[in-house]
Amino acid sequence: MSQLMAWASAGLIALGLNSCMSEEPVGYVEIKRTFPQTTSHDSYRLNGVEVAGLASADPSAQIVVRQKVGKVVLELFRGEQMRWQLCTFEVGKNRLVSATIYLQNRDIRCSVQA
Amino acid sequence: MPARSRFANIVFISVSLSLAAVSGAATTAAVAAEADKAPQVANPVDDFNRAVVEAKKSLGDLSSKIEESSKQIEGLTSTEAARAQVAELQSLIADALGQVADNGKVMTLGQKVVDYARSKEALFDQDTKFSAEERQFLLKEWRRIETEAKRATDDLGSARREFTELLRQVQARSDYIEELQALNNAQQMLDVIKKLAGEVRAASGSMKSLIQSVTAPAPGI
Repeated sequence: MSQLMAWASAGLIALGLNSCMSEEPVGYVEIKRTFPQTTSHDSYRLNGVEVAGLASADPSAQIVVRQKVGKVVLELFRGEQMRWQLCTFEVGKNRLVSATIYLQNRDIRCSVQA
Repeated sequence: MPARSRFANIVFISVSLSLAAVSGAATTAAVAAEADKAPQVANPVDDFNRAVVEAKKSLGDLSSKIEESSKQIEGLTSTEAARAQVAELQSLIADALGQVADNGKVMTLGQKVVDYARSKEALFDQDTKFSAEERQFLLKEWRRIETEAKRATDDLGSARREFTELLRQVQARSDYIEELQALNNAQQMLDVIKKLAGEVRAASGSMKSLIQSVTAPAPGI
């Protein structure tokens, strides 16, 4: 009987580990851009991954993306040669972090609210 | 190491390995079954439609669970149970947001349909193979699919904004509850949690009808 229990619990633990490994904890990043992006080869990247639809000539843009939990860096790329780190923040499990990209004089800045 | 504990470890390792082997065999069998079928041309419209149907079902289920979870909160009297329920509520709303996030499956497939329809329109604009009447029919159908796909993604975009606001609201309340707990103010904590439950239920009702109104483009060709 105890052997059966050991088998059953071992199986459950293995299945539990399997499901934990397949589902990584995620949070969400909301990014707002409050000015038109006039340079056509600009792109924004979160931890190196391009955020599609954020850099455009539209007067503003707002997107929400799923993001793996942990430290996140938001960068602006101008082509592949030039890059600027705009802000760094932590994303928590099931939590939303809002980043606003705005202009200060002609400088592109970022503010974060977690 | 005692013999019994060593035995338990061996049992655990062998069960884990056999489960991994079973799961690996199942995957291999599925891949083999796929390989036996004739390859099919990928159709982004069908993929998007399937994803929209799945997302609608999943969002409907999640909305019901959100409503149920917020109902349960109103009846709770223990602060620990109420805090656990708020955490569950936050997880349900986060899951719902994940369904309609900009980098999620549905939105990505929706953009693919729009791009695909545009490429077809450009193709038929230049076409010389079909008659003018046939070309017009194909162009009209692809324009309709493009418009309907855009509308569906816009509707899901509205759901995304609603879930984003709801997650922001629950998160802010949850952080406030943590602060109240630091002050050991149990009664005020319960009041905040119950008020939040009412607000979430009201938002959840309007979101259900929004989700129901989403329709995927009908493939006409």
